[in-house]
Amino acid sequence: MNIVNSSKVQKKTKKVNMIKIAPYLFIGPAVIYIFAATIIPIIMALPISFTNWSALTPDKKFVGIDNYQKLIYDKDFWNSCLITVKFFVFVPLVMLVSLGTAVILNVKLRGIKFFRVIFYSPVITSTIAVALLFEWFYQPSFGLFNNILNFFGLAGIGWVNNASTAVMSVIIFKIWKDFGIGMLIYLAGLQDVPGEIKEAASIDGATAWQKFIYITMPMLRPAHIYLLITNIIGVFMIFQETYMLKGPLNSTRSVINYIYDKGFSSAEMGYACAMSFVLFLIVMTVTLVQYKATKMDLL
Amino acid sequence: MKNNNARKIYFKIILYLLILIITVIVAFPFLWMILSSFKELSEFYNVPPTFLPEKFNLDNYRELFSRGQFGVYYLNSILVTSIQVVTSILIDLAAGYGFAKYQFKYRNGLFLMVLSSTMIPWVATIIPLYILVSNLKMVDTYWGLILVGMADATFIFLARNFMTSIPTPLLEAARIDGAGELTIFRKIVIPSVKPLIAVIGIQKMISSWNAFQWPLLVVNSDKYRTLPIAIAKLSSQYEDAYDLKMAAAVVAIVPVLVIYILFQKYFTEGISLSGIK
Repeated sequence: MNIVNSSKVQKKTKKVNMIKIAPYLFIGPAVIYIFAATIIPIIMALPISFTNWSALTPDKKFVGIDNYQKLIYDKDFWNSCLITVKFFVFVPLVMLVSLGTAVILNVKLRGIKFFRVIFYSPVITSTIAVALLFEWFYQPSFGLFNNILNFFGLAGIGWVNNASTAVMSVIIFKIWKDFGIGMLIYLAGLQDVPGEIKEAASIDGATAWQKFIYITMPMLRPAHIYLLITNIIGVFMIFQETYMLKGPLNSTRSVINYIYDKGFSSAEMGYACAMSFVLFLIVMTVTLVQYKATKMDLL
Repeated sequence: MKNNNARKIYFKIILYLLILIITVIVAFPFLWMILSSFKELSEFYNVPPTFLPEKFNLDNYRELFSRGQFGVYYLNSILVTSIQVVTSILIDLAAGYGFAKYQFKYRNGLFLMVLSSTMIPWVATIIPLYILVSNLKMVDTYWGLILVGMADATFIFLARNFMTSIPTPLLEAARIDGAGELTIFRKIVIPSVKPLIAVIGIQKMISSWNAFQWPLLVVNSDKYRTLPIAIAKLSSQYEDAYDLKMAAAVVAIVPVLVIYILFQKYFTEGISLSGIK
């Protein structure tokens, strides 16, 4: 009797111990991965930015704030910042296209779901691969876009091959590629707008446009804020589009393209790290503002 | 009343027209890409451009896969993607379950760490990560290619939110019946979160398949290249080879499009699961 009892007790304590250990086993791999792939690198980033780390030379020296001083006087860096700022035109444009397509797809028509699938399809494709298409479309002498312009009797333009239109060309490409993300988010928001409010407004004599501006738009506020912030961060991070569609005279070289060139083509990793740390601080500020803004929205 | 009906019909016609125009803008490039991949290079110079290939031939694909080693790149992409999908599902689900259904020390702190890691932009970590990986002698190996991207904090967050809805009494009952913790996870938790697995699996598949920034850094030699890297190289080396470029784009895009259309409900579900509205 006694023996049976004690073995039962033992079994029970073993179980209790398992419950205590099990969660660490479940979260262990993920926590280790995130530590190794994100937390440790971000902690390393600041010290590395104070060195002249390079893949070419084995000896790295502590150089203090030299990299940050260099950054202030680096014309190419500021030029790439300016180009990134130019890309901000993308943000309102893509939001407008997303909202427009969402409003169109929100109407109850037969087979409308099919079009939702089609409109979202560019989002899931590889930016690098689709850029090949646009390279061809933008080709000045036989590309699609100039063919269309010529068809309407207009003169063709240089698109990516011209420094003054290159940024605009990349923005058009990026809108085509990305508008589906915002479209789905706006669509989810539109479906949450209660029909009764609109009906009440109709009875009071509101036009469709008035209903849209005074009822729908304010109710989409969370979607507006979310998309505004993610698109702003997306523009700071623009890389693949400009890696593929390169304008002449570095006219589309964004901050990240420049960091990439410095860090890996000219192997100035310490300097590239300093630049990416500055960018990190900017993006973090934007993200924190987002959190504040959405919190405010929830209250 | 009649007037109103007429207005409704006009409205519908305009709507359909708009939908048609957007459909053409979105879908036409894909369609033309596929058709053009069967064209000869000379046909690309036609003004006005031809829609259907004048002479239908498979030479571009032959060129890619025989001389261009796209077979190797394809296998690399399939290898990296399939391993990362499996590891990501396993690691993210387990972590989501641990965070959702257990009480333990440092739980909130560790979860906050996972959550805040999603806010760190990749560019801030990529140089130190490269230095770490090169210290481990994993640059230009499959290890370097696969290890980074094994799990995703956003999916852990998603899994944790989804799994809080699993009823705890169900798990307790299994425990009283003598089931071990791993058995509970395998036999009760996993079968009840199939939609979550589908969402994570498919989204991870697309993001692994399209991954560019990290593979671009970590891979130097030809034999480890994945499709996006190979395509970027092709584009800079053969600027005017539009015929090859279209075939390469088809090879990278069409499988993803097919999977997307077959499983499209998991994409919209992913957005509603993550609670972004």
